[in-house]
Amino acid sequence: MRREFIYPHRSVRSFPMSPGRVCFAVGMALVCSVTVFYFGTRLLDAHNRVSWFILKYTGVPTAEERTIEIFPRLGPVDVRDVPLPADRASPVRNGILFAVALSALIFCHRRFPLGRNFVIFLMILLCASGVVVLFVPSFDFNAVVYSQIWLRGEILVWLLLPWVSALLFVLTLPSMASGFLWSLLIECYVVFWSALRLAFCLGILHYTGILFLPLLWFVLGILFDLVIVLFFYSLALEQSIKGTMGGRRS
Amino acid sequence: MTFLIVACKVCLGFTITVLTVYAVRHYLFALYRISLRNSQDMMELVGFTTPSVSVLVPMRNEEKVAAHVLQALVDCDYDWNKLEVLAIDDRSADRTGEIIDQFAAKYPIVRAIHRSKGAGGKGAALRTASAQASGEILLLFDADYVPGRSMIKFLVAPFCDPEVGAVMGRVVPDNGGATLLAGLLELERSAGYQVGQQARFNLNLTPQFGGTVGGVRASVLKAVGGWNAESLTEDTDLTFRLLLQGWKVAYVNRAECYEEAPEKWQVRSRQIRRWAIGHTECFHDLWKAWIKGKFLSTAERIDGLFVLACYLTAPILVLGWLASLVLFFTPQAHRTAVFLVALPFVGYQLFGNQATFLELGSAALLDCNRRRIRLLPLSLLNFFASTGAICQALFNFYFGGIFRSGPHHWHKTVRYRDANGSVYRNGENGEFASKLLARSPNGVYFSR
Repeated sequence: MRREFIYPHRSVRSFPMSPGRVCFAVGMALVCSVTVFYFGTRLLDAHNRVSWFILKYTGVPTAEERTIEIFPRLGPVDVRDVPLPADRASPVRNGILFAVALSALIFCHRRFPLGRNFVIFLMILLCASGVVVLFVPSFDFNAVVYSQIWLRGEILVWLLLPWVSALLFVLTLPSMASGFLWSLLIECYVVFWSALRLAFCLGILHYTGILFLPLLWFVLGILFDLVIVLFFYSLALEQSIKGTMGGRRS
Repeated sequence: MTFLIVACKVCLGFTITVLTVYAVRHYLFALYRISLRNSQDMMELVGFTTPSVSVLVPMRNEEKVAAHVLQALVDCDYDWNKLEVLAIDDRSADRTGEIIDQFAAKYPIVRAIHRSKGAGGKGAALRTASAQASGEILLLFDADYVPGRSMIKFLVAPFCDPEVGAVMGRVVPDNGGATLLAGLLELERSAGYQVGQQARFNLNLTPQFGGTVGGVRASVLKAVGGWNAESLTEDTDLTFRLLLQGWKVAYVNRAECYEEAPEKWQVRSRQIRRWAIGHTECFHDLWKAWIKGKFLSTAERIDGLFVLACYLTAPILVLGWLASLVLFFTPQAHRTAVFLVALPFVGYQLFGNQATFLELGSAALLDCNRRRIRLLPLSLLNFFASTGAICQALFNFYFGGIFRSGPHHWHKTVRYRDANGSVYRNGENGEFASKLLARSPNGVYFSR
């Protein structure tokens, strides 16, 4: 089919932002953030229920419910404790776990040159955790404290995410409607995905103790939210480019 | 323990502040560039001026790529009466000198310069060649670059303006599909030029002369003291000395030149370590003069400091990570339920880290580069890898004397252009060079 216009060279292309689009982006972010804040406690409850369901489905036992504070006006919410392994303080057990994890990381370090520094980052986390577990026995995390830290971080992510989405999707993508849909999709997805990650972390806590918790927190916490946003952003861009100025495949 | 917690919180606060400021800058550039209605591309000036041009191509052990760049240069549609190509063989141990001599014998505009003694490195080679160049404008290309036919016209166009001292073109990797790293670097280069350089140029900040795919007025170069042969990043050094003397640096987004991006992490690591040390050296040498610079606007002054200090953000980031790690293992830190403390921290993690990715995404959107954009989440690996390499380089820079690691050396970037899959990858290099030379004597693809 005949194109409507000649594509400009990439050096002079642009996607001008209309004031209406800026207003829409700000409005959308504001409404979403206020909604998350208003329904925050219920959202956290729903999130925790999904986590419990996953834990139950995968055979991880949960103990009694405990009520924790999140932030003023957000919470309190109920979380469930997860029993830790009985021999969690055993140096032999922790030593074996540490050695296995470190060996896996060393393998990755040698095998994937581009990921080396990321693996070193993980090694540092693991070693720090190992030192703390070995030399500071008083440092004893449990599932309740871990859930509290997790939920505090995640609720802030959910509150701020609409603004990030407004910037990445609504303001800069050629189609405002698709940008809006991507923003809604990512907000829903990130809540569900957080529940899944928390359940995974609590499962690891149940089977291996606290050795891997810092590593899991740093990797699967807010950093992973960033990766999810990037993943969605790359998908949205790919879709947008397909219909923009003869998007090339390479 | 209390002191440690306070120290870690201060470190974390400092890290967040510094990186947030950089993030705001990246957001500004990305949003400005993507919504730019009239970018300054200088194309309206093409043809207005045709000064005499000397193209300098420093080469050291570049037999794999020497023939390609020289052939591309003699094929350029610039008046041969006003063009000379100075091919500099900087003590090569391979066939580079031979290839250069063959081109010089075949094409009258190519002059061979063989360096066999003196200081090594690109800066020193450029110093030698600049002394022998006769053109009003000196254009520079690294040996692995392949300029398009109109490249020289595009690059000299901004010199219409007598205040323009240097010009920079756009670098585009042509081997983005070779490895994951090359693909990620294609995205990174695209963001750096399509968004970063163009936005800085349009905002009258400090677009950088990158030492290749660019040019400088010969008279201006002489006036500011020539190339700094001691510097590992002679291009950054020259950019800032030019700006300090009141000259403008122009960026021409349309002047696209194709390069070979590093395909292996070891090569990339060496490259980025060299840049980190060179840049930081420039920062220490020039920051005082920069702050006092009488020709600079406030915005230029601030942006220039951001550019000079950009590699220092890597160790600051690591400092912040370490502080976070200590705070994680400190139960007291978790009892702080202050919303106003947690919000900026999480906000920084989301917004701050997204800033560079918005630049990458915006550039891919403007370039309509659909395939590479799928790699965007993997850019995090590149980010971690670069952070580590920069930290290592800066550690050597600041503490190398203590550990006797010796002076910082200029490392030549490894070339890969010997496999199949590209127009320039169709045979043995020596054989390919001979084929290029066997074509018509007066330009390959057109007659003059």
